[in-house]
Amino acid sequence: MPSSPAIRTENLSKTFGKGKTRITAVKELNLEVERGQVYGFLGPNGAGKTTTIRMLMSLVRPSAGRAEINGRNVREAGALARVGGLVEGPAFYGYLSARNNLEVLARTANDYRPERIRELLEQVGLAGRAAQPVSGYSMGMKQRLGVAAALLGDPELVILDEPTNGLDPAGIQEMRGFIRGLAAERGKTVFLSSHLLNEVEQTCDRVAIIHKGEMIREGSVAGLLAESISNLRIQAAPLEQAEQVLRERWEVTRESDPGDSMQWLVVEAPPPDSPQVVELLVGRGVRVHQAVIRRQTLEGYFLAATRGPSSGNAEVTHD
Amino acid sequence: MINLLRAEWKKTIWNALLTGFLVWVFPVGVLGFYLVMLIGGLFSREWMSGMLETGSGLWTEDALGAWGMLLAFPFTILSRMLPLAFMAAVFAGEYQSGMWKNLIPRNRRAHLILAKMAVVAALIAIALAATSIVTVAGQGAGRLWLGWEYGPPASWDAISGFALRYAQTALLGGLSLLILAAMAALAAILTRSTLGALLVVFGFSTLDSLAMYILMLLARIFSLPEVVNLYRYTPQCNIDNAQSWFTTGAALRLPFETFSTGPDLVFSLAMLVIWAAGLTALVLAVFERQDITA
Repeated sequence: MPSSPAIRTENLSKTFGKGKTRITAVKELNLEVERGQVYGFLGPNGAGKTTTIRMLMSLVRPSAGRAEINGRNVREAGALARVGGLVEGPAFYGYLSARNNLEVLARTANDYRPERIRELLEQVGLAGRAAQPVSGYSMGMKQRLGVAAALLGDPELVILDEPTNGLDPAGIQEMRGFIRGLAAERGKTVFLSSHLLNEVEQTCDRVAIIHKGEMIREGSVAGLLAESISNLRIQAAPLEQAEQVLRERWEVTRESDPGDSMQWLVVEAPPPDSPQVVELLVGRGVRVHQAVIRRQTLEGYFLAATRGPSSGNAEVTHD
Repeated sequence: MINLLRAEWKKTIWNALLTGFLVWVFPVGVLGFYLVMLIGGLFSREWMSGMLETGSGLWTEDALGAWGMLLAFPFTILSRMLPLAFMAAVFAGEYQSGMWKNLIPRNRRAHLILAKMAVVAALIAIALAATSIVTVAGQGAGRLWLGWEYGPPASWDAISGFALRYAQTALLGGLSLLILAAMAALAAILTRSTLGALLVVFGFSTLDSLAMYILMLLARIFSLPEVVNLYRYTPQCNIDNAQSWFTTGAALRLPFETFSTGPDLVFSLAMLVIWAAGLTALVLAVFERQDITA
């Protein structure tokens, strides 16, 4: 079914425990991830990201709803044949080398190709230490090996749960490039869960934000940022006249940077209106010294979304 | 399935500490015993002859001795502990290492468990077979050195008779191993910890080994003598009974008024198959429904 989405969930829910100890980890989650996308799955710790991934990987049985990968229910035999995953941190047999760990995993999937293992170990920068027991590896090395394990079967869909955990800044940068390359150069779909907003903002095409088990926002990264609060900071003279002119069309407040007596006008105008703001001021004889578009980062958006009034009982908005 | 079995074999066999202390300890331990005996024999023939006198003097009997640790009651109460510890550690090890999350998406859960059961049972069977060979070699070398006979002579009748008895013993040993492996798997799945699995599986095994006495006690406490008849359904009763049929050609004699003779051979073999298959089916059903959350 080439037209089916890479991932589709329909009212996917999971509860753990019974009675008073009952916890709803994921509630009626509806996701659709198109092929070839890098899809970010954002949420604070305990939001239900890993439980969702575990349901996608058939490790946890949904309490209700269904999860499909490439059009097939994940519970069907062989549905995960073209899926690679790194779930909640890397786990390996410490007494085996990286090469032997990958061999065991490849044979388990009935897809053992020594040249593929060699190639992957080189790609993740572990070729030089491939014969050493994994127990001696750093967290970052295990993380790289985890990514290699996820890519073993040359999967169409790669599910990565917090893949940059334990990596140093250079490793994080390298991992981001690697993930982007998976989609851009090799046409793979990447489903990336993270609580690191910077990572998602720099890596993903689309994003879903999950909070307390419910999806509260879904859309393209650019779309979410565009819909989010952004404004224009203006330095102009005379300031009072500028404020008066701008108030005719927009909401305006004053602010100053800490330790600086210079005042700014903050115009609540969307970025596309900025040329009109400047034109209006200049047309009325106001000198505009600086005009700066201030965009909210995904981090700001995420915090607003997960702390906002709608976060508790979510009405999902799609871009 | 071959690749899966090779994966299981590789990761189990390379766990040197686990297999060294709980599996290879049998043949290596016996080898060590005979090496010490032979080295000691360089200095004292009396000392060596004292050690060899405990043997049966028949290679056909010595070769079967290793399997006794799985089959011969009451030794089974303790002698099963190491194989059970090995099996429990192998099954629970996947939970402890968090590896199920890597393995389950790659193959069917049923295949993963069945391959593991097959490999742990095969490894122990190989270790016992190796122990048989080392025992016969050690006894033979010592006896040759002392100029003692080590019968029976290698005639067609002796070899074919021995092959049949070895096959019968190995069959019972294999069924016993499958039952133990299924018990260990179930204990590991239910407890998700090595220690928990060890405690549960030791409990199961001890209950089975002591079932006769437990049932006698219950019969006395509740004044229900027919309770002891339940013994015929336990693995231990049927292993002992089948052994009796294989070695003496008659059913096991039992110390119960209402149940003094063991069942026939077919019943016992069928009961052992039912235990192995039933426990395996239970393991598969529980594992299939289990949420892997770590």
